[in-house]
Amino acid sequence: MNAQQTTQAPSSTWPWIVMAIAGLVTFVASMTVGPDAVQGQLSRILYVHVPSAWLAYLAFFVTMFASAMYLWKKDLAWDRRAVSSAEIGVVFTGLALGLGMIWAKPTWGVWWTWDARLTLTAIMFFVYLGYLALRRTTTDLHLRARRSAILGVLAVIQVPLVHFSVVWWRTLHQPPSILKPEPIDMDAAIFVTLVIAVVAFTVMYAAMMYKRIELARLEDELLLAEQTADSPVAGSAVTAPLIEGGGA
Amino acid sequence: MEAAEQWNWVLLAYGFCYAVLVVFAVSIAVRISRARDRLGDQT
Repeated sequence: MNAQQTTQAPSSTWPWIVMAIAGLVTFVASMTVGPDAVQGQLSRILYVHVPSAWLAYLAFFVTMFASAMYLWKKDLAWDRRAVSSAEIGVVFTGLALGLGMIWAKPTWGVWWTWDARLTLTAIMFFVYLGYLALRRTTTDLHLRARRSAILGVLAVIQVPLVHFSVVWWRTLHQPPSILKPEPIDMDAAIFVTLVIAVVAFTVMYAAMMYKRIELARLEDELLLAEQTADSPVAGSAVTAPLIEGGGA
Repeated sequence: MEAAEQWNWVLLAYGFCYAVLVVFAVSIAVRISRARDRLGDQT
């Protein structure tokens, strides 16, 4: 698809509608379920905190897969999928951290503690910010894709480190409630609400990916167009002097 | 902690969450629009 075809093709609006519906479903589900017996109303924060953390895991695994596919196929479409997922993953990692802090203050009494889960999540957030920064170091599309693909494959090791940190070390953060080998022992209504929120956020991620990949494709086309455009020769803008209103 | 105070934290969390999501979605839309405009100028 060339640049002219892209500018003529209308940008689809359905992903925005899907995102809004997914956000609304999560909000309604998490506000209508009863409060937790111990945490009270504060437990409602977990219906957006847990899906955000889940999407960070998912997004960085998708980045790893797309990066590996780029290294194998050398197709820039895989690079665009990798960067799109990484950027969305950074947003959801930031959300998981921020929402966790808002939950921690009234529950633990502090906004932040150097707990293994929190610290490793913060490191993961900054490593993937570095991934996005790395892509700005060159305008060569394949060099950029290769560099970031290597980081995209290596950086995913942080995801199991973050997830199992609460099992491997003594942490203030509670152990996994769903992604664990033992049977799930939470109340059915809370579990169903959490599943609805996770599914809705995953649908939101898919819609975001659709639009973000469209943006990545446009940015690549723009970069190519700028690189292949005829550069003006130095001095070509200078014209011969003419007297205003005068003849030649 | 009283329920009313807990609700304040819940509202802060949801306000933060949805504000971030809306800002991110708008940033994608704006960047798509700008890229399309610039590509239109190039052709």
